[in-house]
Amino acid sequence: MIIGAGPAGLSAAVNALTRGKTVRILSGGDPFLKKAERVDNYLGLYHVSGEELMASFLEHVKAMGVEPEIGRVVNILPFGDKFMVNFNSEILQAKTVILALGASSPKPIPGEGKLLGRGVSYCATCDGMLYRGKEAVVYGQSDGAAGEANFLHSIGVKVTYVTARERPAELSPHIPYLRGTIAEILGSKTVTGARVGDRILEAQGVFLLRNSIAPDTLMDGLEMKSGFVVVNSAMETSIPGVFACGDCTGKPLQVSKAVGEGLIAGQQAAKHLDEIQKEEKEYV
Amino acid sequence: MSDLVLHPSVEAFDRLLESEPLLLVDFWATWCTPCKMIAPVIEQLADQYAGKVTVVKVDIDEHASLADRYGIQMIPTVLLFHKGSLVGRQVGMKPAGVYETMIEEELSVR
Repeated sequence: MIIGAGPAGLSAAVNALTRGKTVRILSGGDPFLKKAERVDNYLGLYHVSGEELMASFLEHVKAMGVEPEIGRVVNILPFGDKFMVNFNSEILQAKTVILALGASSPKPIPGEGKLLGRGVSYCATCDGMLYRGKEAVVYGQSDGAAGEANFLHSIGVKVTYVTARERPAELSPHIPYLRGTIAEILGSKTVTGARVGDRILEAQGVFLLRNSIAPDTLMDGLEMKSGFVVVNSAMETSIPGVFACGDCTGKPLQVSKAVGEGLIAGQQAAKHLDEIQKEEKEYV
Repeated sequence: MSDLVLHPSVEAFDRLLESEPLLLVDFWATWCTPCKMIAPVIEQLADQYAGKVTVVKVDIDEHASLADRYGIQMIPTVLLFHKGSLVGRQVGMKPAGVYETMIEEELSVR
């Protein structure tokens, strides 16, 4: 199971596929590379736009029979020698996981860490029901945030939608909208509100809906350093069976490095699967 | 599904709270995907610590009063009680090892 469909994730996919493995690629949407105006340091392809490069990478993977599935990976749980992946509220199983999440580790908002699980949530469909009849602030930083706010509204949560962007067209007209950024999440033991500029919004819940999710929030116990996933030269993380590659493992945040690391992660994950299979045979 | 995991009423829960040396409580709901993900982990713990730890599940929609009593703001939340006193709390979905450590620490001081 590959999480991320940027250069690292797709390179890992190609290399696991060439070793005969079954691959699924889960992607949160357009990778960062697609926005790059020009890439001049990818060997052999001088003067190419990020969009062109990304399109050719995607074409390569599609030609091998795999297409990234778009949606949100909320969390991953190891269980025995397998992994359960929460993808759009559906539980998928995998024997190995490759994290190719990109580099946009979000900067936490004051109060966020302390109040996580005490009113702060990253997932409306997961925790929304706990706030029925209560007030909640939705901080919309992701593409699907308005949809999640509408869901909360539909189940009876009193929602206020905060975003630094324009009011999203798909946001229900019944939901109040405030333009701004959340400067602080308030509350000592549980959430009491959020501060947006000079305004205090009273709320029992604050939903932070971002496109990116910190890797160690995705997977409990994953070793991190300065916001990046710690890996060894075989792209193994601190959790056996989990590999990481590309920008999420650290600088330089370049396509060549991502593709190279993706190759190693894909090959090592394939090797890991072979080892599991061998052990299973021996066990039988 | 493990037979060792109990689904008590509020009254039965209160009795277990008093009677059981160690009670592990998994607060969950049918609509919660991470709760479904840790369900096999909780069942495994019930088997692993059979005779040492009593394991119960509380559906927060059925027993909202229990969820309110313990200030459950996110599920899954797993609580550990020693003869009625709260001795451990894990909020959110955690790998098996985290719950094992919480239980082992309690077992070691008893």
